[in-house]
Amino acid sequence: MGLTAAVAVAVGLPAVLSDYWVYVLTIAFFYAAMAASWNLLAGYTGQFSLGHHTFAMISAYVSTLLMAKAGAGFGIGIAVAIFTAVVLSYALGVVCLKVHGLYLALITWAFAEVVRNYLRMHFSFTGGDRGLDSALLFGTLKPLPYYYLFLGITIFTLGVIAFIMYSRIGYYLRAIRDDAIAARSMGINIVRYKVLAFIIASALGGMAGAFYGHTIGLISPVMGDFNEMAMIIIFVVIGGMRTQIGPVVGAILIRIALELLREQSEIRIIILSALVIVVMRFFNGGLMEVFRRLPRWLHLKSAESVSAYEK
Amino acid sequence: MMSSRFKACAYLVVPLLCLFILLIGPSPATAQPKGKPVKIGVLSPYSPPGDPAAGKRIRWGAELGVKYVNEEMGGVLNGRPVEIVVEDDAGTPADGIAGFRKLVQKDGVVAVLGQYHSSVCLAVNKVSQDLEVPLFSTGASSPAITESKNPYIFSIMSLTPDRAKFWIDFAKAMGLKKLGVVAEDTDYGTGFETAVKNAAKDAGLDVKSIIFPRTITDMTPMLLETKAWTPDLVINLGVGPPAYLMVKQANDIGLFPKTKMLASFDWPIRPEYWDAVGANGVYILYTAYYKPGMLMTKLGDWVIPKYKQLYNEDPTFYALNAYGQVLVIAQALNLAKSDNPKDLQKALVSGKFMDWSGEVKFEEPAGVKWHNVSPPHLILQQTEVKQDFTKSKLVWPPQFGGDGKIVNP
Amino acid sequence: MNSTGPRCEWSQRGPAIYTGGQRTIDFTLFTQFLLSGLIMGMLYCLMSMGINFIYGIMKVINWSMGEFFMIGSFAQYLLLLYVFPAHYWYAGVVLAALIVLGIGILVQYTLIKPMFVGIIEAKMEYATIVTIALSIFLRNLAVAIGGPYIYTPPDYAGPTQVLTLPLSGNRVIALLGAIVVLGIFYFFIKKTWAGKAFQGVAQNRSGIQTAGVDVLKYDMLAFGIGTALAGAAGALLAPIFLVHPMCGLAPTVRGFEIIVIAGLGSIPGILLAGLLLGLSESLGSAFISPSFVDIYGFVLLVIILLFKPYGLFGKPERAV
Repeated sequence: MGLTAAVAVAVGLPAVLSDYWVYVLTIAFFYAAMAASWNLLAGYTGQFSLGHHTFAMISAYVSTLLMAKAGAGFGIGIAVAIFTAVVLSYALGVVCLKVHGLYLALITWAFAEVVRNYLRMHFSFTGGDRGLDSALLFGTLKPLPYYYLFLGITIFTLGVIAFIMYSRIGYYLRAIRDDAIAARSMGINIVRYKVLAFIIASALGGMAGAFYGHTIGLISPVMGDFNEMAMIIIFVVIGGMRTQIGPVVGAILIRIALELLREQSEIRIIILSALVIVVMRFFNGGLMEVFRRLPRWLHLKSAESVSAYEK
Repeated sequence: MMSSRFKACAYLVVPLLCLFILLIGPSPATAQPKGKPVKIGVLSPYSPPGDPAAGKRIRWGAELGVKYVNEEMGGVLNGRPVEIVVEDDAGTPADGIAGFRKLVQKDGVVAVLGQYHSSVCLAVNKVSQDLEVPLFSTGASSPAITESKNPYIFSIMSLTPDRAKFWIDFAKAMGLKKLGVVAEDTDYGTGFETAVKNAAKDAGLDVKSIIFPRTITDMTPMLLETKAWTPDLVINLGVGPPAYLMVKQANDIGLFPKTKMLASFDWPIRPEYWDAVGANGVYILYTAYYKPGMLMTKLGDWVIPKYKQLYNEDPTFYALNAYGQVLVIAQALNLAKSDNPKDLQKALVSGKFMDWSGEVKFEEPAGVKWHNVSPPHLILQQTEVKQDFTKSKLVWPPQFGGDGKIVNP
Repeated sequence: MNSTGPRCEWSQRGPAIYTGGQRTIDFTLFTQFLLSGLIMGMLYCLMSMGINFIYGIMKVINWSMGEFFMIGSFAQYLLLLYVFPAHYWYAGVVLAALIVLGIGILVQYTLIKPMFVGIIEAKMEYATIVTIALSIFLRNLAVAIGGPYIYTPPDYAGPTQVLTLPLSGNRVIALLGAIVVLGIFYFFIKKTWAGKAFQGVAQNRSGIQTAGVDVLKYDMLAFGIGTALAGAAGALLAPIFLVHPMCGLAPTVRGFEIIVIAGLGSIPGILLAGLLLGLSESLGSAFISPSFVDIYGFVLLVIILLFKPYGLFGKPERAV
């Protein structure tokens, strides 16, 4: 109910905002989709992938290259891009999800760096640092259609995640996050579900990335820079790691704050990272937990037990 | 439980959203009333993954440009002051586009300068054409920028093919036949690597090139390989730390200064070069676009001592470029007699303007020279430790006073 | 560039290896590559040792090790600039390591310790996020304070030659210094009482408490020592990598690659993995291309993980 209100507001916003802010919100929705899909991995399954942004970048490049070099259309380009993300994440998942969670973080991190490096070095094919021109999805630079595109992508991503989490699979994933050994002793095939979550999250990220390429009109290996992954983590943590809406709220609010704080460009990321540390230390549930506790603090509701875990 | 959370959410988020809309609101750029300042946008990298060292200096140059316009020219359009609005593009195309939109649609600037990274400039180039606001490339050297034939792009830059050909002419004149190219994997490095290879092929010279990732720490393998090939000249296509690292590590393995090395722009005059490399940095050759004592306009003569006094270093080419572009914009504004960006564009294309080093006229041939004015190129050499730019030896070309002799250790 | 010579030829220096395309590597160059790679591999081991030690004691991977390396480098640079004359560089290394030790202990006390006194619920996630955020914070703080400039401490020694490899004296010094530090560390862990206490905490955290060891104090010390190792590495490598806010990134990559190859929790494995990494980078540079030097380590990592998912000497985790 509150959600429908928010969506209605989002649909109507472009009418009152300038092109500049519509563009800012479009990019914010992209990050919201990335944050939500990463949350599926990290917040709900307890898998720390540090290569989520890489799948977005790979998909963007696959789609753009297919269209530029092989003359494919948007449909094929984006479909193949998502398929590539699925295949790669399956391969990567099988290699590193069998073992300790820390290995996943290390390996995805190394994977991200290597892919980014390769895209830069093989510049004759990928354009390297100069970037690659990408066909515009709606043939125009006006941000309005892309705004609705990414609003739709974000809602779709949230929908897929909600569908999973309210199903039996979601139950298994949360069990794996909370206590993998206990889950296995109850007969859940941990590796299969971990890989499944990894694939779905990467496919969602890849979808967002492919469309992103066709929105900006130019993709470059900067998309795979570790800064991007750090921002996704920041959005999710500050927004609220174990909630559905938290990552989206975190992404949108922080992107807007970053825009407003353009003047202090050096300091904003210092403040943000410090904020992440403070949030993790004291407000483990992020902004959503603040919202939840607010009625109690304002003495609107009586005390209830509060835990870092949503369900 | 869920609905109560959404209720709390709604209580907070919806009013916040309304406040936000009120604050930001629709703000189309409107013509400024008389006496109001004319704004020029500066869109450069000030935070990673962009290069903040470059953005800083571009900003310094632009600020001095504004000072000149307001103090010496008496402002523009009958006494209106000029001011700059600075935005950070963080070396990322998406942020560059956002910054450009903000400058144009929120701040109402008449033109944007300061672009340094080619990938960002290429992305912003498209938006400038869409929004019809002039965009100046201050340091982005990819030929694709001007090849786009965007009526709103203007470049006062030494472009990659021009500079590469200049280097090949220099090598040929000095009898250097084997050129080792060591380039970073940015658009700058790879663009030059390709251009040098092409120009060398036409001139019949040999090139061996190696590309390295910009984040590299150990360049020894590639320098060893270059050394084994016994080149006559090594072209250093690094920017910032990799450039200094290359000199240092080449010195460690005995490649430099025994073999001559050429820097692709004027970083050997910076104090941080000597801090990084120490006394081993002598004898390096470098590319510059002016030499103190060269015939320069009064615009150039005005800014150089002021810059040195404020920032304790000689102005870099990009800083001078930013300064010059502010002045060109100011002159064009006066020619256009209007602060509408479309009129400004017409004036820019039709007029002749004075820059810090000479006259500027934007032509419209197809290809790389579209709206591009290139400064002259010089090769200088640092013959002593911590040598001041004014004392550097001018080696080439002869028409500017170069004596054609390279000092060897 | 055209070298269309025969597949194998005698150059002036010995047999040549034609590596396809336009490159000919002769024997001398090959040995130079090899030595250079081995030396660099050893230098990265110091970082890995620090990461591994902290992990062994607290089961936490500190993602900000690169930033402690950077702090060590900056400390060394400032010390040699203002405090010590250049030939007392070793004093600078020691002092830089101690400074980093202090900062490490502070960080551990405020941020990591709450994990172990029951305040934080999800431990690994907390540690990962906090240390990643800390690394971003420290890196950007360094840029804000010192500016995006690059600094160099004075050279430790002049250029020398190791076998066929002309080498900067700095690398030889750094190599010897790394061996000394690793030796001291090894002695400390194996032979002193405190070292044995650390081993005990690593092996059985609850068990060692029954022996009267205050694990929280050892946690603090372990974190401090681990970061001090990274700081010492930073101080030793300062004239080689140059000192700037991003200088911790490359050693971090190599450090983590070594950890994964060796397997978490294995000290001798790290030395072997370091040498392997150095070897693979130099062989890759020689036979394929020096441009892709960052990729060879990762390829080695994947190959080893395919056969030994826990690394060469790693063991599956068992939580008590």
